[in-house]
Amino acid sequence: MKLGRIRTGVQTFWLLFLNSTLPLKFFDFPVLNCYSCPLAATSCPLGALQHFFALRRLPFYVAGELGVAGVLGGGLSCGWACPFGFFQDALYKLPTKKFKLDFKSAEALRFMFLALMILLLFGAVLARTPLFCKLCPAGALEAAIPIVATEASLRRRIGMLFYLKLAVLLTFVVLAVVSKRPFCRFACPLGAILSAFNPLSGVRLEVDELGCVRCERCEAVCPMRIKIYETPNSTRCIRCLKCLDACEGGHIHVRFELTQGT
Amino acid sequence: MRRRAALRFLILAVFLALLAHGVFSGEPAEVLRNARVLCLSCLGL
Repeated sequence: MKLGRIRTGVQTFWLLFLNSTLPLKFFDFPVLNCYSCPLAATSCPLGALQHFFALRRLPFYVAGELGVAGVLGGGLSCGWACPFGFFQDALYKLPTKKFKLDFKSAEALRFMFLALMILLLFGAVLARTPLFCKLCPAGALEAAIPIVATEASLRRRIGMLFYLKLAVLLTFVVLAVVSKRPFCRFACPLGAILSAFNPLSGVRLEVDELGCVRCERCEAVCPMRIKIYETPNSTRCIRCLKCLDACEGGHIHVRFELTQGT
Repeated sequence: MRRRAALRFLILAVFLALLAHGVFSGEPAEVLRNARVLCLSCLGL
């Protein structure tokens, strides 16, 4: 069976589990799933991180959780469990014209967006409020829209910020229809934190350099547009493993190592 | 044990220590309390 089908099944499982209303909100599962969503079972690490930043306290628990998840799996949870990533994957399947941003402009855009998002994340220390959450598109989709739609008392409090949040969501929805995972690729600080562990993490991609003919099929299917044959453990990789399915010669391998390494 | 594996274990130990410190400081309960409050920022209100 192709890994892509297994991944869709795993993503569906996590979407249902993380929105099953189970009482697990003391735990920050390392994916973007807003804890204000009426169905959310776990907490969002970015929301929890900003809570401690806003109180001007060091977030030991959240940092520990993210670090352990990063060292063990790197960006694995982004590719296989994140509900907002799954939502973008589904949007990309809509039959429309697709666009590919060229590498240089994409990198510049990524740097600009990520810098802004990380500034918002740490801006919680100065502003004493979760700044990133105010613009988070996952929060808009999973919490703002359903709660405001069902609570008449909250509808009276709608202002510019709500519409700005909707505009951010709409922008990424439109982009997700025409290009692969735009939020993960350009703006997600959680993905940036987790994927930063890729060069060291237990989940490792390896390319058989003797067999690889650099046909670039792996780069073409990669949502992050990574040249897998050059940097299999790139700090941008979300470990979706689409490259494994795309490589006709089977020259890309994934393995989990904890005690081995060069 | 090779260098990457040793570094991985070292970093894992650091983060496990942070996690343990957070757990014993009662941070999971605070995360739970925070998550139960309807976050108006998350709603954009």
